[in-house]
Amino acid sequence: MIAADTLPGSKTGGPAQPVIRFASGLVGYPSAQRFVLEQSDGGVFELRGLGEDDPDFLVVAPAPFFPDYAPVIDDETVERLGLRGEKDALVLLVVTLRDRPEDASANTLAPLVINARTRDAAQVVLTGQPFSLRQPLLAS
Amino acid sequence: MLVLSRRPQQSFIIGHDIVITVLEVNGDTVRLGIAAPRDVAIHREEVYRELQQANTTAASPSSDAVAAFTQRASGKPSKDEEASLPQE
Repeated sequence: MIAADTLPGSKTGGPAQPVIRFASGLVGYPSAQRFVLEQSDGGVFELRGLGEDDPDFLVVAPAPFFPDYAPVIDDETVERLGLRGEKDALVLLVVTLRDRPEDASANTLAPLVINARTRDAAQVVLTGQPFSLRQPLLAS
Repeated sequence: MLVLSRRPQQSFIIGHDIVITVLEVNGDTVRLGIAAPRDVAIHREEVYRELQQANTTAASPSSDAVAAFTQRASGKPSKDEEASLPQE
């Protein structure tokens, strides 16, 4: 099925929100498979799980924080997500917040890769690439 | 745990469609090839465990923490900094 799965617009009457599908869930949350992405300020997004017990995640676009971030997505993932080229792939990083905002970190080792065309997504472990599960975000 | 012995180039089949082949044994390292359906994610166990912990720690942050971070990330002064500005 090609048609994008959508939710009705938000209560503010905005456009319908496309549903992002993680067919295998996320590690630790195998049943969390349907999310919507909501944009906040400063390149920050909230990824909201649609299931009753699904988690929400704060995620960021890499570019504002790590301009040199250039992950290589393996062929299996490219095929699994049906990525036809770099433009198809929306890469987002999961943020871990701690008591102080300046201690926030991003998971650059296992980014969320979303096919912007089909909304199929996966959390991809970049084996063998020099990234971190806890890369500081707001270097002081 | 089921324990089986295999030689290089011999395989196991798990279920109907997951095939694990011993490719090479070199000292204390074994190289395995895994063929599985696309929807089966394969991770090194220690990486899986670490990622699981990272995701659990990251999941469902409080709205206060999100607000504080978003404010910092967008370069606006935090509430604390605003509060400490001298009064006119």
